[in-house]
Amino acid sequence: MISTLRTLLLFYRRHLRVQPLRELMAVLGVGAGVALLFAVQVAQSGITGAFDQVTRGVAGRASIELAARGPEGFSVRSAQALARMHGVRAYAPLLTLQAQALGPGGATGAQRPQAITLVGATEQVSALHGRLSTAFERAEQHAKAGFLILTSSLAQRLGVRAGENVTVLIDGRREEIAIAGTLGTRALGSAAGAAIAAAPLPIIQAAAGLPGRVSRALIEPQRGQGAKVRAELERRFGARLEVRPVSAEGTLLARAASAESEVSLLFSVISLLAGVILAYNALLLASGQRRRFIAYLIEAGTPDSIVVASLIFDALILGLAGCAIGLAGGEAISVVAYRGAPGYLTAAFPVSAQHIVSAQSILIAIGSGIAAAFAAAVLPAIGALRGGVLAVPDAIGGSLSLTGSLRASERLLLGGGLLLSGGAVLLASLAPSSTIAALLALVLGIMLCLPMLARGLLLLAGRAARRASDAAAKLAVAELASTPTRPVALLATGVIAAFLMVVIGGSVADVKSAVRSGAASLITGDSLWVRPGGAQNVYTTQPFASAAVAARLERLPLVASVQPWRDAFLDLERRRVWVLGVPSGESEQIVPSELLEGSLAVADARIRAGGWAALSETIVREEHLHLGEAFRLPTPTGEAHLRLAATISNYGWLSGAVVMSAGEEARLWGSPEASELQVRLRRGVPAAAAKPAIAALLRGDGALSVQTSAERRAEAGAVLGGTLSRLNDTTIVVLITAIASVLTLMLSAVWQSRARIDSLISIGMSFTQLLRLIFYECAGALLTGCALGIGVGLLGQYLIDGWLAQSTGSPVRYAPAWQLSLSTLAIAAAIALAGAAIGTARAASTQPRTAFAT
Amino acid sequence: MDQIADRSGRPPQGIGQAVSAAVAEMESDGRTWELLELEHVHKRYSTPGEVIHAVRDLTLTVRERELVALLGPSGSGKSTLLMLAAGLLRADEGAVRFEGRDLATLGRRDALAHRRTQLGFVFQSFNLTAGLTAQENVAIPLLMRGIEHRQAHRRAAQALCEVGLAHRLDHVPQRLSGGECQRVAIARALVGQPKLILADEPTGNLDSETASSVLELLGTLPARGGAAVILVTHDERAAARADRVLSMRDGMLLTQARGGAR
Amino acid sequence: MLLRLDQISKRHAGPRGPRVALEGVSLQVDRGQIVGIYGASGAGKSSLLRIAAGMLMPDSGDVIYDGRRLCELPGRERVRLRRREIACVWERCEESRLRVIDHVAMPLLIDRVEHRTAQRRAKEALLACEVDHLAPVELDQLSEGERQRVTIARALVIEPRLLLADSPASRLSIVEQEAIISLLRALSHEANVAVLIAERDAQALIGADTVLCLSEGRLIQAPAEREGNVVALPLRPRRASSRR
Repeated sequence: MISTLRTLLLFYRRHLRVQPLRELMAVLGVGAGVALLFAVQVAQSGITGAFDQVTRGVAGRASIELAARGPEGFSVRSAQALARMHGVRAYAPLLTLQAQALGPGGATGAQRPQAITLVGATEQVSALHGRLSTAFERAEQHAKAGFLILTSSLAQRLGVRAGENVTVLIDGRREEIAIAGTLGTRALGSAAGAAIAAAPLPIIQAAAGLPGRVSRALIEPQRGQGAKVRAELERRFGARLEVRPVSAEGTLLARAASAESEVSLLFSVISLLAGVILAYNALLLASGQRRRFIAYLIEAGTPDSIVVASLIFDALILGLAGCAIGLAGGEAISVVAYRGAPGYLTAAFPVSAQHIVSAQSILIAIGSGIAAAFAAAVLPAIGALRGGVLAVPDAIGGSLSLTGSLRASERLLLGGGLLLSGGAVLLASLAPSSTIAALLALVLGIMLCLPMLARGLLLLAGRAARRASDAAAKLAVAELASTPTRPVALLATGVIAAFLMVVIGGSVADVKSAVRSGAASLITGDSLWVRPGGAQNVYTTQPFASAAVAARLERLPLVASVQPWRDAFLDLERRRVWVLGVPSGESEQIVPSELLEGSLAVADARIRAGGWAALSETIVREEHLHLGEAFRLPTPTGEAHLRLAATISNYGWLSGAVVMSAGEEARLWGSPEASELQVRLRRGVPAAAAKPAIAALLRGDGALSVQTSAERRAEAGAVLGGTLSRLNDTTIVVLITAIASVLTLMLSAVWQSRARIDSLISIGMSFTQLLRLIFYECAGALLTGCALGIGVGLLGQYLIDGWLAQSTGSPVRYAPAWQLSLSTLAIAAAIALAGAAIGTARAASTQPRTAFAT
Repeated sequence: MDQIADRSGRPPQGIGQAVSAAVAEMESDGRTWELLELEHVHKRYSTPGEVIHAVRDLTLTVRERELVALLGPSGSGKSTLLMLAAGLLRADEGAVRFEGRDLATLGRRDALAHRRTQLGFVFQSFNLTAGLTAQENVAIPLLMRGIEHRQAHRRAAQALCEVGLAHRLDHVPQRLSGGECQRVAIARALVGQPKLILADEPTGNLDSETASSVLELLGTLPARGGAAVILVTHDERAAARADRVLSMRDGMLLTQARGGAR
Repeated sequence: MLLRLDQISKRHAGPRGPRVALEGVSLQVDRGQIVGIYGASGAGKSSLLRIAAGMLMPDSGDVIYDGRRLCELPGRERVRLRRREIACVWERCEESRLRVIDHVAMPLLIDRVEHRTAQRRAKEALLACEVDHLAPVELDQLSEGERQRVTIARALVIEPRLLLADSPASRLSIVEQEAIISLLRALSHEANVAVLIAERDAQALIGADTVLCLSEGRLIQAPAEREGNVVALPLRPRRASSRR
């Protein structure tokens, strides 16, 4: 066994010595695909995984939770009633809320507020044996002074230590809380990267202005009593509180992030496919040599088992090396490009991205890398094996004929490719939910058609070259025709790189603009906007003592009116929706551009009258509702019975929106407090000029921000536009790998035909003629591939937009990414030219020895 | 000037060229001029650990319309000599002159033009382009000079007729025998009407009988097209057809003898 | 008789339809004997050697190796023979980036011989071919003559009973050709190996015990006229009518 392995290693060392660059390119191809797949997985699990980790760390053995529906929470007495409930083994009340924090530098304005999650708990939480809650509890017990325990990363960001004070901005107020201590990775594991601060429940209640209130209660039922406890909780509290599994919020988060998850999955699978193609390209170049080597082995009497073992060994080495590079690269990408959680998620969930590398993501990446290596190695290996003993392995390829009629296998390939592509487009059009799978099938189908496309292109080029007086053109076409797998490889590279650039770039741009327009359409006119918190509160769901603030603002001479907006998040069974309470002073309750079904005037009147609300299309579809139909909405004051006034888009919140009047919302939430004040100014007073006066008036409140409409729109655009945009950054990796692959193909082609090129130089071919020759040989196929990839990418963009529109309810409008397409083509042309220039310079600078006998 | 002359297909008509032609006419009583001169030429290659003297103190002249056979075992420096004669290599010492002009003084462009217009090459491995027909292969050097497509193909057909391959114009190299491939290569070398043909082991890949016929054809080139031929080979039958036979070993010219052609 | 070919015929598919590679070829080679075949390109020499090695099956006729019909042996057994008893030397040596010692040891490694043993036997084979000093050198740094000696060493390392050589000396000068043939003759006689060589020119076969001419797939035997070691050859091989 060892001896056989040593022999296989000797074979592989031989491949490395003969063609080190090609082996390296094959490894890099696989590595690039694995890197992207791994990075996306780590990024995804960094959000959902981090959230689940924190949830588990706090909840411990608790499996059920009671959760408030509104920001006011519920009475702690309700939680205490749990102690007497049959079947409950342990419970713990918690007050969890989003806030901002400032360290000592905040006082001078040198520091920006950090978003944090405040958790107030009692000693009952230790009974649940959650790792995090136990750690916090223990730290609190051992603290000599202070109340707040911070995670180490949060403390670092705030620049604070135990014994110092931290300023907490909650709901428009400032509170100073002394720090008792910090906890690092030793106590918390990777959760030490989360922005969590915990303190005894009364401290947080006081800071939040919610005495005697909690936001949730965690419950551990006795063994076998889970269902009974849940049923009892539903009976007692179900009207006003959510009774759900502890993991429910994590599911809502996954749902909110689903659009990004699914597109990321598509992207990473296609990236892996790109890696396979790039590795295949490199191995293709090596296949002539490999074939000769295998012919040599067979002639020398090598048993089939060793020949096959050698091929498997090569694929395995390629896979393992590619995985090693891919994991390292993926780690780097996930740290650099996927830092932090997207703003639109942190606005709605107490989530901060952590760097979580799970065994699962590593195994998936490795498995994919090995599979990719085998996929890339199979075709050239089959060619090599089929070459067998009698083959005179002169040139690469030879399995693709360019003359005469199509062989049966070629017809099958073309037919299969066309069927797959056509079927994919049809499927995506008819069933948008299958778009992701359909796009993958489309790409595969196109790949299958490439050999025949290359054949067609070469036939056309041959006809054109026949009448040409340009020696370079004639020679280029002849060379491509005799090594047909090279144009196929270049076509494939061009297609996949251009496709990825256009489909990702185009879809991202379309979603960004849809989301931005949705949110910005709410922020109209030249008003000023007052609300607590910063960019994290982009959905303005944090209520504050708005009545007093409004009264003070109305006394200002430059203020015409102050309108309260009441917005909140609400958890339905499968999604966290954004509820907008529109003030009566608004001319329209529904933004006209967001209306999808129903009459604007009728809906407006109904919503103002009360008892009616508009719902996002995704909700309407899921609940199978029609206009005018009644539906129930779980609210903090109980279940509300409303009727559907209109179907709308999701206003920039991907999980869905509910629009009702502010008065209705106040009634249903049982609170008069607004979450945002719109300050309308007197005619002739520009908002920018009035802002300093308003800000000065509110400075005593400290935690309220004042922004003009333009600033609000810009902020919303920046935060919400982050949807999917992280994917854009990672297309750079694909682009770089594709560039490297093309350059290697070109330079290898020059190197392999150096005898031919040397003889042309000998007989007097000039530098520019040689440059044209090499450029024609490579640019034609590459640019055609890019053009095809752009076409398929624009189609893919259209299909993904349709899917995103349906799955997210955003009015994603298709805007063909022409500019991106043109720049992709320009980049491809530049690469081809650069490669040709390098290859020509290299060939021309060396003595043309290979043309001559030694 | 070369391009203009070639495009028209007629002999050069400028005054200078007319004088040269008149002088050549006066001299055509049999005397020939030195076409190529190598004078005390050295060429060295440095490899890790040693310096290889590929050509040592070599002096050689080739006259117009002369067939010179250069024999010697592999590694004797024959290919290096050929490359020096073509101007593809610069000598470390000594001079290489073509029609009196030192090749070392030629810039890159002039060197390319010199090879394109004055020289023809025949390689051991033929170096034909696989996807092009025999006629297209032969037309390539003319197309490289800028000659129009139809004229280039016409002249290529003529050249192929001269080497006895009129019936193989539209055959690709894969369908030609080794001897036929080499004839195509010879036609390609001839088509530009060069003054000097450099043949590098032209029979190395051919069997005995085919090699004989190719050598015979090469032997007729000086009379046919007026080109001198330097034939590098280790096939001793070449001696029978050459005006002069030179032997090389270890980078040095050992002997010069009259060939069987005279 | 170690190897006997009886009325071997073979056709290959060509661009212009099937062409005859061999027709009714019969010959025999015994241990300690060198048989040479010369013929033009396309005469069928390579096909003949591949049939003799069991890599190619004839359309008709028998290949009898050591009393057994090769075509009746299972594929695995033929492969084993190539590994252990039948050594092949082809014209082209492609393995340029291996060291000589690794290249020569390769057939043993393929046969799962332990590495150190393989290296030792490779050195012995190189010594027998007088190129043991080239063991650590890479193949592409060798001259043609040295490369051919190394190739022969690789063939001998398995201690074959039959050696098949396709144009082993074609690219060499006359002096070097003679040296290679002498080496093969010495090895054939000393190691009692049957040797069948194919070359383009009869001149390269001076020193062989029997010289045969292969022309257009048919074997023409020269009468045994000897002047010392030179066989007088009344017939020049005609060029094969099929194309390259």
